[in-house]
Amino acid sequence: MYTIREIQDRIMTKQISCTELTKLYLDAAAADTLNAYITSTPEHALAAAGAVDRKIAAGESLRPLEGVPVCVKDNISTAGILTTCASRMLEDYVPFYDAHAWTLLKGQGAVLIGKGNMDEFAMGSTGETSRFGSTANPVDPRYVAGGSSSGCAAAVAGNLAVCAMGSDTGGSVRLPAAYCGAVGFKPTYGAASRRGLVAFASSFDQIGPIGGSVEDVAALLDAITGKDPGDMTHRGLTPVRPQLTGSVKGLRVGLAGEFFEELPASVAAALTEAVSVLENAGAEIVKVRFPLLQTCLPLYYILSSAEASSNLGRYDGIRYGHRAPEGDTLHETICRSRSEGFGAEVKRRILLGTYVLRAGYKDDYYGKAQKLRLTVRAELEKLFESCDLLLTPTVPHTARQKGESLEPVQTYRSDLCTVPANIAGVPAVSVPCGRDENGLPIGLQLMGRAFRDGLVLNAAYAYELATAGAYLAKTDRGVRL
Amino acid sequence: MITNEEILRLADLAKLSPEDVTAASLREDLESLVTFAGTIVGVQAKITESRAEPAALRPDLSVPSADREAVLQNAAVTESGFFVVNSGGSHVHNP
Repeated sequence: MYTIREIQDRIMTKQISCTELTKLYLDAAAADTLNAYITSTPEHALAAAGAVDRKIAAGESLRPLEGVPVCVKDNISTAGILTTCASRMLEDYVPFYDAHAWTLLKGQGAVLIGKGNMDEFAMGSTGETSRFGSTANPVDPRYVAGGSSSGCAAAVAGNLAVCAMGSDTGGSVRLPAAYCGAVGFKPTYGAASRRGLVAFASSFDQIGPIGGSVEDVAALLDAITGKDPGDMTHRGLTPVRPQLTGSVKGLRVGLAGEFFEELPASVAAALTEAVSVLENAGAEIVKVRFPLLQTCLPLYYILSSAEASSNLGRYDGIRYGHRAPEGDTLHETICRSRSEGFGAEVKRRILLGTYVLRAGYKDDYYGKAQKLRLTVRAELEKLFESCDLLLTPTVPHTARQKGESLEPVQTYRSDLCTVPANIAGVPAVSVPCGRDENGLPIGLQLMGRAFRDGLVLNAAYAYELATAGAYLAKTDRGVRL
Repeated sequence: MITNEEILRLADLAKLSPEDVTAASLREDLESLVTFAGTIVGVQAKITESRAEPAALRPDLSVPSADREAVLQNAAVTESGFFVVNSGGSHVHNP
């Protein structure tokens, strides 16, 4: 994986023009067998690259993301460019406005290589629910890239983009980053504007960066957290890049045993080693408890499915989206459009969401889950009185083989370690920390208090420096400079 | 066990075709998901009241809306600048 600094150095020193570099990434994406992209965007990419080359010719310097080839997840609106959410429902949908985060990134001069493949409507953790086929893991294509930001993670780790902008509702940036050997970050809820991010579960969704290094993720995060009065949940964030000192001296890193139960030996060993690395770097390891961990999964699925059933109610085939041949009544037309337009996982979640919101059941499921959410938040806040960060595996296992048949609930268990951060709205990062016996990447997760995104990323940065980035994905795929 | 009547009612509420939801695999999946969701029933919620946070409000200003043509561009069926619902037959839905 190339870093932003490496790419910009080459452009600034005229070893390669931005246009030539962009063509390399576009060609690699076109030849890609990972299925990382749904839509390639050569026109936009080359126009942006041309603008960068004119700046270089005029002797001007580059802004932090200028000229950098990026992948944007296909649930983030890009005006004039297909935004399908990997669904038949939106397979022809072209937004007429940009997501605010994309406006900011585009305004920085980033070069859009294409729209990243994903699980349909961001519902999934393998990348296999996409209408357009699953994305393969660049480290070993027999395995999944993870989801739902499968294309983004695969593009970065497979040298088809330098960094990417995904979305994370229950782990959808962190999990594929962990599976593919990249760095992925879910910011504090409200750090980045959600305007233009196709809604899945609005109280959980956050746009988040994926990159080949913690520095790159920090640079992308700083680019996309600019003020947006169009999202009333948006709070912004103090820039994180200046907070990357690389020092964790005196930092209290909490370990909660609940996250380490029944881990495969390779994952347990990698995490144990990572703890030693941080301790040797000056961090203090603190034992903490999080007894509500197992409750987080059903809680997350109740609330996110309830919100999804409401958010996806807008897809009726009338104003946009797939429209079935007309039924006898409007209701029939809408039902057919939705049944034809949505895949199985989306329908499962809509039905679950509808079930838990039904009159007579609401207090048992949705009402109870809302109260438990408050309790989980309070428990995490209390836990953060004893430590500055919580260290966990990102996923309690490594990537699964493509096509492995699992019951839905079994698949959901992949999200065990990631959903607590979404439930509480706190920041969390995944960095690679080892390989399993099949050579597949293992992810280490660090979670912190709300709006302490800089602290979380700095600890990840310190870890990356201490290990010299040894566990970041290295493949022969994609662009080679 | 989710009854036939319940699943058809769910389909109606979720605006999905009845043929879809009565398929055995989707029904089995839903039952296992409901069982999974039901595991929270026995868990004690210690906090039940949310700390009130002030709602962030926009200024109460009238601003131009989106361009009509842009809004219509993704609709499968339009007519004279309008979205088109069922063009014939009854519009009334009797659940």
